[in-house]
Amino acid sequence: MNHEQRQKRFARLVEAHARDIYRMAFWLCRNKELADDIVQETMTRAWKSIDRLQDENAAKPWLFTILRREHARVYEKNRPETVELDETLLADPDQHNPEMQEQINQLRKAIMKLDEKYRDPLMMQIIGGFSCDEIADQLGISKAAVMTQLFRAREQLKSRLGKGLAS
Amino acid sequence: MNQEKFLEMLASDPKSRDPDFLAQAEKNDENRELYQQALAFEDSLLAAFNTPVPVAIEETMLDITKVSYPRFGKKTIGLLALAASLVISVSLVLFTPPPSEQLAYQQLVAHISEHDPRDTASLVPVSKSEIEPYFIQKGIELGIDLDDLTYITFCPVGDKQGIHFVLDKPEGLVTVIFVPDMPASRVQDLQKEGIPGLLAPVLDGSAAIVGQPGQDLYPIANTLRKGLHKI
Repeated sequence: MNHEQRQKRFARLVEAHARDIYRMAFWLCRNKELADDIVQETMTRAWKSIDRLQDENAAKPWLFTILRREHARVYEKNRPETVELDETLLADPDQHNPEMQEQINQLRKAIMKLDEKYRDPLMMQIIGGFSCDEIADQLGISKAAVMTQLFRAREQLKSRLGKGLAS
Repeated sequence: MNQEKFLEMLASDPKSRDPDFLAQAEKNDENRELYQQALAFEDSLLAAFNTPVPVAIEETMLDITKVSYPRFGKKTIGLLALAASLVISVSLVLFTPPPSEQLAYQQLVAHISEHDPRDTASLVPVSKSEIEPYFIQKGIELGIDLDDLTYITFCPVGDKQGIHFVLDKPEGLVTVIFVPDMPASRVQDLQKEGIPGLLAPVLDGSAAIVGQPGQDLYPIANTLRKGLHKI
C-alpha cells in the first residue's frame, strides 16, 4: 500500500469512527484533557500500524482495542484525577427539552460513579454498538460475565436515579 | 425462551434482535410494557453517552498522516529518547499561549461582556457586497452562503476589525464575531449565565460564537472552519 492509499484508508476510518473513539476515550478517563491526549496517541498508533489491519470491517474493534490499551498504559503511569461533569460537558450536541436534559445529566453523573468493571462493557455496548460476544472477546471474559456486568450496570443506574443519589 | 431468561436479557441486551427474545417481548401486555420501558431507558443511555466532541476532531486526526514515522534501530532509541525529552521540555514552554494571543482572547471576551453580541440595535448593517472584498483583503475566500446570514456588519474588537454575523438557525439566532487576525490556539468555553459561547480558532484568527440557551455551538464552529479558506 502506498502513502496515498494508506491516507485514504485512514481517512475512511476517521470519518466512520472519530466521534465514537473520542466519546469512548472521554468516558474511559472522564477527563477531557486526558481524553484529547489518549485519542491523539491512539490515532497515531493506528496510523503507524494501519497496514496490519487486514479487514476494514474489523476497524472499530481494532481502534477500540488500541484505545483501551493506550488508556491502560497512561493509567498505569499515573492515575489521573477524574473531574466532575462541568457545564461545558453538559452542553449537549442534541437538543432536548429541559426535563429530558435533566434526566440525561443525572444519568451521566450516575454513569460517572459506576465501577469501571460495569461501566466499560456498558460503554462498549452503547457507544461502540458491540454485541455481548464482541465485548467478551475484547475484554477477554466470558459472554455470561459480560451479560451479568451489563445487567448490574443498568440496575445500579436505575437504582441511583430512582433514589436520587446521582446528584 | 422462558420469562426468567427474557428478563435477564432485557436488562443486559435489550436491543438484541434474537427472535426468541423478541417473541417473548410480544407475548403479553406486561412484557410489551417492560420491553418499551427498557427501550426508553436505552434511548436515555444513548443520549447520556452522546457527549460533545471537540470541533474539527476529524481534521486533527487526519493531520497525523502528514507526519512521517521512520523506524529506528535499538541503538538510536536511547539517543532519540534523550532528544525527545528535550523537545518535550521546550514544547511545554512554547505551549503556553503567547502574550499576544492571551491579549486577543481577553479583548474578545471583554467585547462580548461589554456589548451583548445578540443586541444588534446599535450596529449599522453593511451590505453583503462590502463583505467579500474585506475577506479577500484579509486573504480569505468565503465558502459560506451569505444569503444564510440575517445580519452582518463590521465590528471593532480591541485594535482589530472583526465581522459580526447573525445566523438564523432552526434552534434560534446565533451570533458570530470573527476576527481574522486575532489568533487562538484552542477552543475555549465562553459560556456565561446559561448562554452558551465558544471561542474557536478559525484559520489564523478567532471566532466568538454566542447562541441561545441549550444550543450546541460546535456544529457552527465546524461550519465556519469548513466555510472559510485561505486564498
